[in-house]
Amino acid sequence: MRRFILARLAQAVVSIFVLITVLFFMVRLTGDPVERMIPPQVTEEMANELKRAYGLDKPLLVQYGVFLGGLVTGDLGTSLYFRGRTVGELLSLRILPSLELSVFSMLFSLLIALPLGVYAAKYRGRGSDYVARIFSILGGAAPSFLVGLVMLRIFSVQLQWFPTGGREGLWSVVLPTFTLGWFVSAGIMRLTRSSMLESLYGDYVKLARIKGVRESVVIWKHAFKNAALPVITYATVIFAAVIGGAIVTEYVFAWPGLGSLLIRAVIQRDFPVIQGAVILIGSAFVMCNFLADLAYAWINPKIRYTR
Amino acid sequence: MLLEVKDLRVQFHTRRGVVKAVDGVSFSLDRGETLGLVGESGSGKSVSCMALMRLVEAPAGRIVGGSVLLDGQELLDLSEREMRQIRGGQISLILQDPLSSLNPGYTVGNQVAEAIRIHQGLRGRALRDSVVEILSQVGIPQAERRLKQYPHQMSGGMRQRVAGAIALSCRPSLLIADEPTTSLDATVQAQYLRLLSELQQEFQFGMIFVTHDLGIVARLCDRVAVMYAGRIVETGSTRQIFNEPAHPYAKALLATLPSLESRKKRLLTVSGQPPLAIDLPPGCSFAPRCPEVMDICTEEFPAEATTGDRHRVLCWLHSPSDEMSLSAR
Ligand SMILES: Nc1ncnc2c1ncn2[C@@H]1O[C@H](COP(=O)(O)OP(=O)(O)O)[C@@H](O)[C@H]1O
Ligand code: SF4
Ligand SMILES: [Mg+2]
Repeated sequence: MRRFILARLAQAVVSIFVLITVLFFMVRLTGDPVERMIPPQVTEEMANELKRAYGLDKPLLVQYGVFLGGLVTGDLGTSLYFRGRTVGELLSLRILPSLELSVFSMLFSLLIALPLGVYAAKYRGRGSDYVARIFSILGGAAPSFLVGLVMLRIFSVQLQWFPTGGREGLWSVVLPTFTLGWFVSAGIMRLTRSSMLESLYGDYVKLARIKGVRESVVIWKHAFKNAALPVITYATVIFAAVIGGAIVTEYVFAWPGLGSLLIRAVIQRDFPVIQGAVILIGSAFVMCNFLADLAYAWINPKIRYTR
Repeated sequence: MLLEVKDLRVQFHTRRGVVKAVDGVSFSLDRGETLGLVGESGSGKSVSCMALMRLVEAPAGRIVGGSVLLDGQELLDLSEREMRQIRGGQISLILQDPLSSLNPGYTVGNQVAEAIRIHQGLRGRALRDSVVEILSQVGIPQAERRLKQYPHQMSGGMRQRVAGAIALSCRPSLLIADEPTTSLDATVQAQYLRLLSELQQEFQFGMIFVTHDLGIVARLCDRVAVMYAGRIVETGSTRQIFNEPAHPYAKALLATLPSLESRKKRLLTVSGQPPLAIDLPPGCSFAPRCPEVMDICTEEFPAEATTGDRHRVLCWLHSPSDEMSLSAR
């Protein structure tokens, strides 16, 4: 088990390094940030001055070295757009809202998707199965911005139950959570259902019934534990994606998370901020994958003992 | 009589039609007795076995009629809750594949303990001792150490012993073994069969042993039931069936038996295809393959012929009115 963990950890570190490197060169393909920073009538000289100030005049590899050096000391650089503010500062303001939204959405979607998937499988082909499948198809197919706008229109504008945007108090998180959670739950529910179908018809479930085990225990102890393996992996990876990928939902609800920071940074070619945000999101992604592997090994004794 | 099954019927409602998987099965079994259930695959052996425990896959499958008396108690009338007490308590079943029938996510100890906990209410130390005891009884060495192992850490033979331990942990009066040795190699299989016999000697459970292997039937079983297309077409003592098979299908099966010296597996193979259980022909289901088919066979379903000594056959060659016809042949 310890060797397994160390191997996975090493893998995670390498993945992050590759991500950082690819990212560094990729953002620089998107164009020159200075164009966006200054009005067009400014002289060439002033533009060069700016480039020098931000170290953008140096050869790419030197820039890369400086960037890595900064990373080691925890310095992600300074924003090109929000002048004078460090990337670290900008990110730290956004982490909490992002985490809050993604954790709530994830919990909400698991709470809905797991039982729904399990019972859809149990009652395959019957009423509750169809209801669950329609719920999941809608959640997956309806664009988040549409769901978000409809929610806003009904619950915020007409009924005035919730604020129309921003992040103030617990109420403001309800609609974004629902919008994002529904979208996420679609995939989790489908995977739970198909995974449960497989294990529900397995021999070990048959044997549990033969032993005289109660049906609810058959489902949750015997079938679900094995069916949960792929679901856990998927949910962990999705969670990481949700942290960084809630861009549309954050935009619709004016939620001050990483997603809205990232989208603005991309538009402004704010390299340091893009890098910082993606490194953060990417590292979260890699860490979640690592945790998923651990959880998988913990639940599935076969992996634990054969590696 | 330990078990009396009368006219048991199980149907599956599928898209292609109603499958009469078990279509009027009757047999009986005494304590300490072993009944061999033989027949081609698809003839309804497994479904019959599961139906005895009222475990037919709903909603497609349903027990539509008949009677299952265990120690005189009608199982088909019990509530689901009462039935759970019977399952694993009074009737147990060993499935064919010991790898897939043990849960990969729980230790062997946990899985054996579960049945004992449900049916005998043991907890803690007593439960653990009871698990170790039954594991030792089925011949698992160092049972104490095996408790924490997972199924995949054991060999196929050991896993099937664990399945046996689960089945016998609550001292059932009826053990159903659905081709329990098919996936084991020859030596392990022989050991396992010996173990089952010994345990039966000790606990005196009645056993239904489903198999393709007539060699096993000859060695292990007191009585034989030959299944064809959802019905038991002939049943009698092993001697009767092997020495004087009455049904043409049983005769064909036995003709496939090589001499006893042969080490080859004696598997059931009879030329022709078994009928689809969806549209069974009127009359005798074996008629399309029967070398002795007569006119009446395709028109009317054969009535049961019985001799006095529990030897019964479903075939027009043996008229029910002529009690002596069986022994005469
Ligand atoms: N869940 C099911 N749905 C539909 N048909 C089934 C189902 N289970 C078994 N059957 C049908 O019942 C018949 C008997 O099957 P089975 O008892 O498994 O045969 P055996 O054990 O003798 O090989 C087969 O025709 C099979 O197709
Ligand atoms: S009833 Fe007729 S067809 Fe059927 S087994 Fe007997 S002889 Fe053959
Ligand atoms: Mg079978």
